[in-house]
Amino acid sequence: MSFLSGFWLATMVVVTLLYWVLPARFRFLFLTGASALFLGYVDWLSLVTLSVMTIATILFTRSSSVSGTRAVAAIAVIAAFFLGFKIISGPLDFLNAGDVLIPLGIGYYTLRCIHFVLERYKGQIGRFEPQNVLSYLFFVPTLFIGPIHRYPEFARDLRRNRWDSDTFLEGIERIIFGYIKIALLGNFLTVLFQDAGTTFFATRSASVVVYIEMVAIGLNLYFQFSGHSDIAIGFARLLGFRVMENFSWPYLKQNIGAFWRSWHISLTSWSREYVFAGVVAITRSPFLGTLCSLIAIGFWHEVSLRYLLWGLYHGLAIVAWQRFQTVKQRLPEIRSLALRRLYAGLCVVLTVHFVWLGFLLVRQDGPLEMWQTLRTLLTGS
Amino acid sequence: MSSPNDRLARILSNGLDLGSGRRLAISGATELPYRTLVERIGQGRSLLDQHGVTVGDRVVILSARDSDVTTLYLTCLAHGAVAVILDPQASVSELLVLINHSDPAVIFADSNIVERTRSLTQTERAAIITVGTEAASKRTGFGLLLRQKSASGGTTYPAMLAGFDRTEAPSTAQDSDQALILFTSGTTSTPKGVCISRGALAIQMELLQRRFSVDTESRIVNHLPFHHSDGLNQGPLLTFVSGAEVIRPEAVNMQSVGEMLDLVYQRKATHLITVPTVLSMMDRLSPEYDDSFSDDAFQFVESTAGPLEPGLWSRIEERFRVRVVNCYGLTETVCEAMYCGPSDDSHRIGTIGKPDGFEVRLVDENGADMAVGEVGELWLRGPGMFSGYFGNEAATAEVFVDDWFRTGDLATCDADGFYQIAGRRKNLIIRASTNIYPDDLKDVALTFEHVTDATVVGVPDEMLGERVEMVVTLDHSDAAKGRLDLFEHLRTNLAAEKMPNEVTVVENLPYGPSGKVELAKVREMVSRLSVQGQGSGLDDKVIAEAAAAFRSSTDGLSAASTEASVEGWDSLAFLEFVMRLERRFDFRMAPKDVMRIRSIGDAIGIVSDHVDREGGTVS
Repeated sequence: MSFLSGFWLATMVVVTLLYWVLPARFRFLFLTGASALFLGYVDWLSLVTLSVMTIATILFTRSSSVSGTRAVAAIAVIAAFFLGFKIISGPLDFLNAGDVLIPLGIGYYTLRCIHFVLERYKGQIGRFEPQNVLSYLFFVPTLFIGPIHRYPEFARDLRRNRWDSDTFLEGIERIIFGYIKIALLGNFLTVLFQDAGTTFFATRSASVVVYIEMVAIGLNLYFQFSGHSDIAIGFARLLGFRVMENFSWPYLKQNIGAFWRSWHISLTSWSREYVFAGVVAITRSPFLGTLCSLIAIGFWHEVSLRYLLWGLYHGLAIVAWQRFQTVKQRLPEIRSLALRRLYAGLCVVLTVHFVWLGFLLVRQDGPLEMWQTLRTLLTGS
Repeated sequence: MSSPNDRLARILSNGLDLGSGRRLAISGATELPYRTLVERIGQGRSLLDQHGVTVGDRVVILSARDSDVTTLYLTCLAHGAVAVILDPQASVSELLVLINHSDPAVIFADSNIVERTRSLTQTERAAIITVGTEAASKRTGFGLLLRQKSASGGTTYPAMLAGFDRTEAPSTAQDSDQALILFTSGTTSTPKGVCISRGALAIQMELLQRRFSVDTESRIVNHLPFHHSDGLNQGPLLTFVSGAEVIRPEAVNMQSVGEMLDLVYQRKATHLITVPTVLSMMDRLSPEYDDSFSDDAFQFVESTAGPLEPGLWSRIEERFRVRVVNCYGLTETVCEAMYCGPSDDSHRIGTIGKPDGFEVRLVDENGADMAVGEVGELWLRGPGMFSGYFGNEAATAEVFVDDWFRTGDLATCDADGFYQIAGRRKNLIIRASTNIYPDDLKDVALTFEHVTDATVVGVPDEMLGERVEMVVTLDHSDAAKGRLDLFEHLRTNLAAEKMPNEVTVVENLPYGPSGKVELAKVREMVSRLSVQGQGSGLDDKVIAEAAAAFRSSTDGLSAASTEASVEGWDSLAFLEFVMRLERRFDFRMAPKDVMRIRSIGDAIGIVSDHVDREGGTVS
């Protein structure tokens, strides 16, 4: 689903207009209905999948308290759908259909459903109104590309929802920023940079060509993804909802841990809260928790060997960085301000290149291609 | 409705004109449009007529249904009857005493209360009308459409109103006639029902309109109970006479106080009327609520019905960027008598401000006026003063010196005319802004067969203002069993809001040379026992572990601290925190509990549950 399409723009305008014209008591019902209609129009399979997951979520969690068995059963049903689609479009893609079989937005609403079930199980979400859960899961601004916002904040926004011109203007501003990131910085300038660079260096250095490709992938990924998040957040604000932020200057972080706290925040925080915390709560092993958390993020993108390797790549890097912190405490402190700044700058450069390399490698088909790309980057051969 | 010597009727009539087309939001989702209200008031008057209710007759209203209490109260005022609003959660024995003392012409009560007080229905001469929805037996559309048939002369209020025409004729009531009786004490034989005249009520409403700038644009959030004047008169009545909106949240507690603030935000409220205990709860909320009063229309928070601690007051004003107007008043003054704000010249943190509508004196025990800065008893006089205690002339005579009302509170006045409460002369405990008279509790305790002696004291409490501690001696062979039985006895005979926080069994009460129980020694005794108690200091110990794990100072940590507010709270440090707690309290935290810790308060709750469940020790 491209947010650049005229259809999407028209949807935003019409939904926003009707939402505020309608009497307050009909607004949430209208928004849920409009979201379902829109989803059904662009991908009927996704509408069916989301409906089934929503029913399962509500049915399994509607008792006053949710037992462990019920929570596991609910998650099993939801995860079975998600993994089923991921597997038949990945490792078992005999029809060679690829992503065509993946319901639009399934990755996002699966995590929302699991979040709801687990918070009910933990007792953090009390008794609920089913129509509020419907509104939460069928919330058109975040349906297709996140952020994976959380129910308690959404339910609070339902209670606080009111017309507020400042919030509305903030929404318009964010949407404009989003389009600038996607169209100007991503689709135009980054592509221009990549084309010019690769043309110039094509006959001069294979290493530099791969390097330029790596930088372009890293930049474009950020502009596209954070731009789409800006539009989703902006659209939500047009409707009076404040959806969580998804990016916070991730390429300016000084270490890999900080990067993962500022990149796709709604996904990484989800993984930290449910995968990392779950594994640690059971095993008391942060090492295992970190690895499982990053592998889960990898598999969320695609169930494949390359994403397993990508998850391990980041997971091991975080563990190494955490270990380094204990060693670092024993090292002498840098006293010079200039040296401290230089050190910080080097840390940023190192971190961002580590991340970009990961993005470059995970684009390759398999381990052999990854190795080949790495070799070309480092040696030019 | 209007009559030349009835100021209240005039302002009620004015309110009807102003409020046309608006609504009162009662108990959250239930909305009561003014036109429905007017219709029901007119029909309700005919209902009262049918039961022979005339000016000055008392009508008991005993319901937990806010919209019906509102309608019935306004109906009584329009009709010239005297509304007697009772606590629907009062015990059966309390209700029987209060209703008997009120000698009403009609009683409106919720069906569950009628059921609970069967003995009342058998002995009471007054007509009893059940308040509530009709039994949902009449369905339309083959049971598919669940909408009830429109009631045409149902058997319960308000459905029964459908059978009545509206009475529009003005009542013959005068300013001097009584309008309202609210009981401030009395669980056994000597109830103190505060009689408020129509004139006093009208004067106080006009004063509040002016002082608080209440008009047709006002939207007032008020969660206080209707059997208290601040909930009833600063709620539906003040808004009705102003053509404004009152918004009543559901019951407010630590879990729901955030929802109340969401309501303030969503409805773009102009005023929040609350009590210090709720401000203390707000103080513990996460920063996401800081914008609750950010709308330009919001004017101020009124804190009433209890002393407001200056530190809390400053924190709330700074954090929420809102003015907090601390008010002083008693049921006897209808609403407020002293106002600290909202204007800058009357606002000084730590004081109760300056009087408005009342004259004030500070006097010593001989009735001599005190100088600036000296402590004296606060006496009040003004047209908004109550008329006396219903059917209790002795009590009335005791509190009036000529036309000055002795509040029983001690205060000082500074050179700028700001008053400050300095203590209390009367025997009263104020817990979460509810007045509790120790003698009421003591009387009930002494009716329990095994209690040989009892006393009740107030002990300072950060959240509640004061806790209610009952100390008794028992002639029971098993003191623990006797204590539990006493709790049950108290629960049966006292309203929930009067129940003591703790009952302590001792060998003997400390009596002084004059033969009276020495309350200071009782308080010491209670504090000592509390410190020895199992749960004491648990918060501090969990915070100490958090400080060690997060490499932070305990000063910067509290139960409200979260990952967002504690710099060293990362995943590793969090795990260390969990494991430290497990070591210190000698238990293994369940994965579910580990995952639900979002704040230090969550951890305190989990450890506390463990200690309670397992009888663990807090070392």
